[in-house]
Amino acid sequence: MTKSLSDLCDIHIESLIPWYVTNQLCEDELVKVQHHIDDCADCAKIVEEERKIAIFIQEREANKIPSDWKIFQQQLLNFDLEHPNPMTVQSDSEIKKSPHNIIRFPILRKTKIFISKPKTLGFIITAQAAALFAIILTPDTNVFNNIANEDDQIYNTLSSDQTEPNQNINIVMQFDPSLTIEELNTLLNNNKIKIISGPTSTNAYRVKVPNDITLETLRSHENILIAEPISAE
Amino acid sequence: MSDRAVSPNSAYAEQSEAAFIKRLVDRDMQAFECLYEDYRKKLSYFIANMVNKPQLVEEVFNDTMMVVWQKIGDFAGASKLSTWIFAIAYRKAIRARSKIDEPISNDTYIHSIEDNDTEDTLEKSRLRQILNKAMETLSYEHRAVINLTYYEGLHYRDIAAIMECPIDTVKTRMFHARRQLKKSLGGNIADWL
Repeated sequence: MTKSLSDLCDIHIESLIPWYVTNQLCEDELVKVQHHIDDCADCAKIVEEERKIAIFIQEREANKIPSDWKIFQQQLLNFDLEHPNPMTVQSDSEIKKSPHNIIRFPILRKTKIFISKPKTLGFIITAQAAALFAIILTPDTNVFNNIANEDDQIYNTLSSDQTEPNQNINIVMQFDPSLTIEELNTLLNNNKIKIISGPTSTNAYRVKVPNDITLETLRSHENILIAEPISAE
Repeated sequence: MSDRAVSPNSAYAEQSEAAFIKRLVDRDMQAFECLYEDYRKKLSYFIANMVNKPQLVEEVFNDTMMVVWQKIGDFAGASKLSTWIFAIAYRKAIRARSKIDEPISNDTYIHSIEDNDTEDTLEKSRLRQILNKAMETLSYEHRAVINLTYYEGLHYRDIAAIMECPIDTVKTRMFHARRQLKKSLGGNIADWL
């Protein structure tokens, strides 16, 4: 049986009813549906049924997702430490979409992204050179004085004990961004904090502190916003 | 009708969406915490209807929010932020489903809110149970369209963007979902009227 033009019109109108019931239609569609159900008892009944179903569905709920913001925040900080500039990292799906992509190894992909942007590369080299000059010319005021010295670095051989007795190196820390360099230096020196790397785009640093300074002590400091140990992968 | 996707109670409702997104792009952890807590509520029902296993729901949610953190700089504003986040959650949930060997059963993760007043009769509870059972008979795509329409209060255009399909497909899925629901509900739907 073939449908008449008016039947086809009804199908179009009926398909809009769920969004008519939830007040999501644009003015034009709203007028069309309203006009139609004023004259069509069948569709008016369908609207009532849909309203009832909508109410019953809105009364359903799921258990709230059990999740811990502190743990998740640490994962975000870890991601930023591993990806200082996340905007340059292509997702796997984006890489698959590219018909010209023949590089199979992630490290090579990232290298390709890097070298394929000569302007970015030039900017980075210039920025690094400028930063190096700044460090050399202003040794007394630079926070990088607190970067761990070469002698302080921990080197482990395969046979050595992996836990260093005096230093707890795996801590991510965020400081009050309003601190001056002098204040930050004082804070670092007073708490024997050594910066290992950073800042990330979230202004987080990987630091090491002596074992006698507890996380609670650090967290209680008004100018330390975050102090979280980095769990071993 | 509730519009959970753009809830006025959102922690960031006081500022414009563009201003809030700018804070996220600038790696404002406080702003992201607001987003995280807000979507912990918003996505719980949607994800649970897709995977309906507590551990997977949590995993899909955290994966979704991690992608939001990683990719917020790529968000061009072509859709609403909520549409973009729901689209990520939808893809993550589909991927999670594909990893499950055994069929997904509807355990107690989804339930109806019971009224405590006297009007919440046994009959109403019975009808709710029938509807819950009827929802279980739907495919996850049909269930997603039903929930995004009735529960989240989204327009069919937003649903098409979330499910990455044409608008007509959304309408067709809705048509079949409604037909299936009414078939499962049988004569009970008349009792409600």
